[in-house]
Amino acid sequence: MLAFSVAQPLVLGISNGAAIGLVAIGLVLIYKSSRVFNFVAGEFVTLGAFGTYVGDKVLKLPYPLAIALGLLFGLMAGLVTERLVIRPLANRPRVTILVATAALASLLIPVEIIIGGAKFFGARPIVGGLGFKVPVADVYMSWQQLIIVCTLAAAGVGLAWFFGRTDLGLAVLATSQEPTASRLVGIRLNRITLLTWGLAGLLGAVAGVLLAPVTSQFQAGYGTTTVLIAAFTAAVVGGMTSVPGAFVGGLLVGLVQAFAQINISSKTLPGANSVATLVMLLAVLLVRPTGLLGKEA
Amino acid sequence: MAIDLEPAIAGDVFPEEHPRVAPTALGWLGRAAFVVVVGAVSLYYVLHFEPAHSDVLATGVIVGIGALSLNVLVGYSGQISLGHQAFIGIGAFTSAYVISQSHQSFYAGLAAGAVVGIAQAVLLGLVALRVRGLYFALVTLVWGFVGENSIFRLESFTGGGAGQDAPRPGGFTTDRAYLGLCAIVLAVILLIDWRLVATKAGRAMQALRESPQVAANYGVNVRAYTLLAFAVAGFYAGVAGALFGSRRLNVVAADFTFAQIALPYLIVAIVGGLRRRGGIVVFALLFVLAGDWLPELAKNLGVTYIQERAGLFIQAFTGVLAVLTLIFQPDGLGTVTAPIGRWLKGEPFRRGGGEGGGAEGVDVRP
Amino acid sequence: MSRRISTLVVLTLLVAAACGQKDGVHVATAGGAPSGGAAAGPATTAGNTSVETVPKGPGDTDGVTDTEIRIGVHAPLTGAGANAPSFEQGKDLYFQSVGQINGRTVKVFFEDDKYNPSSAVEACKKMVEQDKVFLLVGGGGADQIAACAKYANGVGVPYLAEGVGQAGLDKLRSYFALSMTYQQQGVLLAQYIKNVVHGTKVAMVRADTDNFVDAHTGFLAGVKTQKLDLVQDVTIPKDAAGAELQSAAVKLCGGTKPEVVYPLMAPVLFLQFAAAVRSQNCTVRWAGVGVTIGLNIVAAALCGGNAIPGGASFFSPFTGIADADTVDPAYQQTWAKVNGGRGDDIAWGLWGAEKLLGAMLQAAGRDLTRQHFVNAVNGKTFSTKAYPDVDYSKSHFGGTGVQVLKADCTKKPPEYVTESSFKTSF
Repeated sequence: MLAFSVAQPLVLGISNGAAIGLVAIGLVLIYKSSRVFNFVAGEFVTLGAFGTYVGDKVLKLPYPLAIALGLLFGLMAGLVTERLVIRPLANRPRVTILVATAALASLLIPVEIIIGGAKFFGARPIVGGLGFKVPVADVYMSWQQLIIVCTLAAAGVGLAWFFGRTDLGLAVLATSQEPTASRLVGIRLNRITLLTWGLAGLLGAVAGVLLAPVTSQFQAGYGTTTVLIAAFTAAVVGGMTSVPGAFVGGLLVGLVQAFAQINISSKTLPGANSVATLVMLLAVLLVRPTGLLGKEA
Repeated sequence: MAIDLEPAIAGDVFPEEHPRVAPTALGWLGRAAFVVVVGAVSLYYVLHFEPAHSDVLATGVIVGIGALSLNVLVGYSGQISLGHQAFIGIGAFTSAYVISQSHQSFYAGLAAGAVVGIAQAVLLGLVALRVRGLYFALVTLVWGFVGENSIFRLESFTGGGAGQDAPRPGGFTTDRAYLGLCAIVLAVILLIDWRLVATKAGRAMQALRESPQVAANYGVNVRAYTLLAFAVAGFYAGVAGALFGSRRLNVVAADFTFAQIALPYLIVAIVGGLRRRGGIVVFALLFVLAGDWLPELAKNLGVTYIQERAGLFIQAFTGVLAVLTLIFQPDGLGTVTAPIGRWLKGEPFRRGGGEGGGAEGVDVRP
Repeated sequence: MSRRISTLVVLTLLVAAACGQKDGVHVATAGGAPSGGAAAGPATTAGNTSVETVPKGPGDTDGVTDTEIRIGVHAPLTGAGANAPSFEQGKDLYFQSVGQINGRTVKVFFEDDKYNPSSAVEACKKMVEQDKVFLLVGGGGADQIAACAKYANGVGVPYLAEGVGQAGLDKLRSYFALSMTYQQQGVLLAQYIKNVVHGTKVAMVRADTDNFVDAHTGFLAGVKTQKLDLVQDVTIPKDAAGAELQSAAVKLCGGTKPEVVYPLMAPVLFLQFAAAVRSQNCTVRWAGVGVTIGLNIVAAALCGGNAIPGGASFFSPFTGIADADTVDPAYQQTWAKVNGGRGDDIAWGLWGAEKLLGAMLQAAGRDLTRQHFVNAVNGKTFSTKAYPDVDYSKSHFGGTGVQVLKADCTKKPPEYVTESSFKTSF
C-alpha cells in the first residue's frame, strides 16, 4: 500500500492506547509498592469483563450494577492475589514472584473456562449506536471508545490527586521509596501493599469492562492475550515507576501498534503490531533504560 | 518457613557432612531390583495399554524436554524465558517446513529445528547481555508473542491457519515406536544436560546465576557462558518442537500459545524442581498422564462434569501446585527424586535436596 | 570438555539409531498399523475414472462386521467454530432413520476437532486407531477438513466432507467432496453478486491460510469474467483479535467503499469482524460461502449485535431449516422420535451429508472393503435431493450446485432462510 494512513491509526491508536494505559498504571502502582512485575494483570481485565457479563446476562442486573459487579471481581482478584500469593513470597527474589503471578494466571484461565465454558461471551457497550465521525479523519469512533479515553484522563487526574494530595497516597509513595523508614514512621506496609493491589485489580477491571464491548466479544484469557503485553511495554516505556509515564506510554504503544497494523499489510508482515512492540521495547531498554519519564524511585 | 534472602538455599551454604558408606551386596541388589521394577512397569504400561496411551507418554517426554530447556535458563544460568512458545514453535515449524516443503527426511528436519532453535535463542541471549532481570523477562514475553502473532503467521513459512504437515519418520510411525524415538532423544538430552552441569560450564553458569558481577571478577567469561546457556536451551527447545510437530502430524500456530506452552512448561520445570532434571522429567510425565487418566477415572466414577473438563482441572491444579511449590517447597518434586537418585548411585537414603536445589531465580534489581 | 560431550553425543546417536530401527520395525509389525506419513503416491489426476488403488493395509475391512459399519465424524464443538452441541446430538440421526444399509447398521463415533487442524488429525487418528472406524466424515472447517483428508489418505481410510480448498487435496484418492469446493463456488458467487445482488464494487476478506488460496483464485477468476470491480483484497490472521480486527475494518472501509464483501473466515472471527465494520458506520452486503458461517447460531449472533444491516447471504449445501420439512420430512420426524422437539440446522446439515454417505455405502454393496467403497464412489453420480447432486466422473470435487441462505433478522430467534435452492448458476 502506497498511501500512508495517518488519521485512522491516530484515532484507533488513542482509543486502544487509553485502555492499555489503564492496565499499565495498575502495573506501575504494583511495581512501585511491591517491586513486582504482575503477570496476572491480564486476568484482572478478563475478570472485569466476565463479572459484567455475569451481572448483565446471568443475573439480569441493570447495566450499571453489572459493571459494578465487574469492578468488584477485579478488586477482589487484586486483594486475593496480594494476600494469598504476594505476601507469603514477600522477601523472595523478584523473578520467583513474577513466576508465581504467571502461575496464578495459568490457574485462572482454566478456572474461567470451567465456570464459563470455552466460548466467546458477548459484551454490550455502555452507550450503543454508531458513535460519531471524527472530524478531519475518515473514521468512526464509537461512544465506547470515547468513554475509554475519558476514563483514562479521569484516572490520570484522580491518581495525581491521590498521590499528590492525600495522606494515603503519600504513604504509598513513601513506602515504595523507603520501605524501612516508612515502617519506622508508622506506615503499615502490609496495608499499603494490599491497597495498591486492590487498586490495580480495579484499574484492570475498568479496562476490561470498557474494552470488551469495543471488540464485541471476549473469552477466557482475554486480557492476557490482548492487553498484557502492550501494557507492560507501555509501563516500561514510561519508566516503570511513573504513573504519568504509564499514561503516556499507553498512548504511545497504542499509536505505534495502530500505525504498524494499518500501514503494514498482513501479507507483508503478519502481526506487525507485535513486531513494532518488540522493536519499541528493545529501543527503550537499550537506549534509555529508565524510560521516558522514569527516575529511580 | 525460612525466608531465603539469598538465592542459594540455606541448607546448601553449610552442607552437612555425610560419611560415604558403600552399600552392601544386598543394598546393590535392592537398587538393581528397583531399576528393574521401574523399567518393567514402564514397559508393561506401554505394551499392555492401547497405543494411544503411548502417544500420551510421548507428549510427556516432549514436555519434559521443553521444561529441561527452561531449566537450563531459569535453573542453571539464572535467566528466564516467558516466551517459550516461540522457542518450541520455531523448532516445530522449521522441522515441518524442511520435511514437507523441502522434502527432506525427518532427521534433517530435527537437525534444522535444533539449529534454528539455537539461533533464535542466541539472539535473545545477546539481548540478555544488555537487559537484565525483570526487564529481560518482559523481552522474552514479547518475543513469544512475536512468534505467535507474526512468525507463525507467515503463510509462506507456516501455511497460515492450515499449518504444515509433519509426518513421522519411517519405522516410527506408530505411537509406540514414536514414543521410543522420543525416549531416545530424551536420553541424549539428559546425557548432555548431565555433562553440561558436571563440567566447568556448569560451575560457570552457577556462578553467573548467583552474581554475574562476582563471576566476572573470578574470571568467568560472562558473555560466552550466558550465550552458551541460551544455545543449549534453544537446542533442547528446537528438538522438543520438532518432536512435538511430528507427534501431532501437523504443525499449526494455534498449538503454540503463551497459555499452552510458555506457562505450563515453566510450571512443569518449577514443580518438577529447578536443577532437578529427574524431578522435571518425572513431573512432565505425571502431568500428561494425569490428563490421560483423569477422564477415565471420572468416567468410571460417573462424574461426567469432570470427565469433560479434565484437561482444564489439571491445568488449574498445576497452577495451584506451582504457587504452593514456590511458597513452601522450592525443590519441587526434586525433593522426592533427588534422594532416590542419590540412593541409586550408592549413597545411603537421605531425605532432602542435597546440593544446589531450590526453585529460586536470581534476584536482579532492575 | 566440549570434545568429550560431542563424542558422547555421536556415540549415543549411533546406538540410538540402531536401537530405534529395531524397535520401530518390531512394533510396526506387531501393531499391524499401516505405515502412513505424507507419501502422496503417484499423481493420478488424469486417471480419475479408472480404478484407483487405496493403500491396502491389513485394515482394509476395519470397522465392518457382518452386522455393523463404524464411521467417525469430526466437527468443532469448541474453538472458533460454531460451538454447537447438536453436531453430536444429530451425529447418527440419518442412520437411525434408515435402520440398515446392505444388512448392516451404521454406528457413528464423534470427536470434537476444536476448530484446530492438528486436533482434527488427532481426532481422526483416534477414531481410526482406537474406534476402528471404516471411514471418516468431516463436519466443517476448511483447515480441519484438509488436514484430516491428508491424514486419512495416508492411512488409506475413505474421507468425506464438504468441499473446501482444492490445493493439496486434488491428488488424494480417498477424499470425496460432498459439495462444491470454495474455488468452484467462487465462480458462482461472482455470478450471484453480479446478477442477484447487482453489486459491482466487491471486496474479499479472507483468513490467512494456505487452504483459502484457491478460493481466492476462484473468486478472482469469477470477478474477472463478470467484470466486477475488486476494490479491496484483504487477508487477516486466522486468529486475529481486538485491535487487529478493528484495523482491518478501518482499512476495508477507508478507501473506495465496497458494496459487497466476501468474507472467508471462521464464524467467530466473522462475528467480530462484522461488528468492527459496523462500528465504522460501514454498511456492506455480505455474500460468501462456507458451512459453519451459514449456521443459525451465527445468524442469531450477527442479528443480535445488529452487525449486518446490509444483509448477509451464504452458499450452503443444505437449505434453511424451515424448508427441511418439504425437502426431506424424515429429518424432523426422526429428530422428534430420538431427541423430542424439533431439530436444528446443524443436525440438518449433517443429515444431508450422511444421506449422501448412505447412498454411497448402498452402492458399495454387501462386500464392503475400503477399496470397494472408493471404487464404487469413483466416477459415479449420487442424487439424494437433500444436498445438491454430486458427480465424481471428472474429479473427486463432485459438487454440482449450491443453496443460498439469507440471514433473516426479523425472525425470533433470527435464522437463515432459503433464498434460492439447488442453483447451478445465477
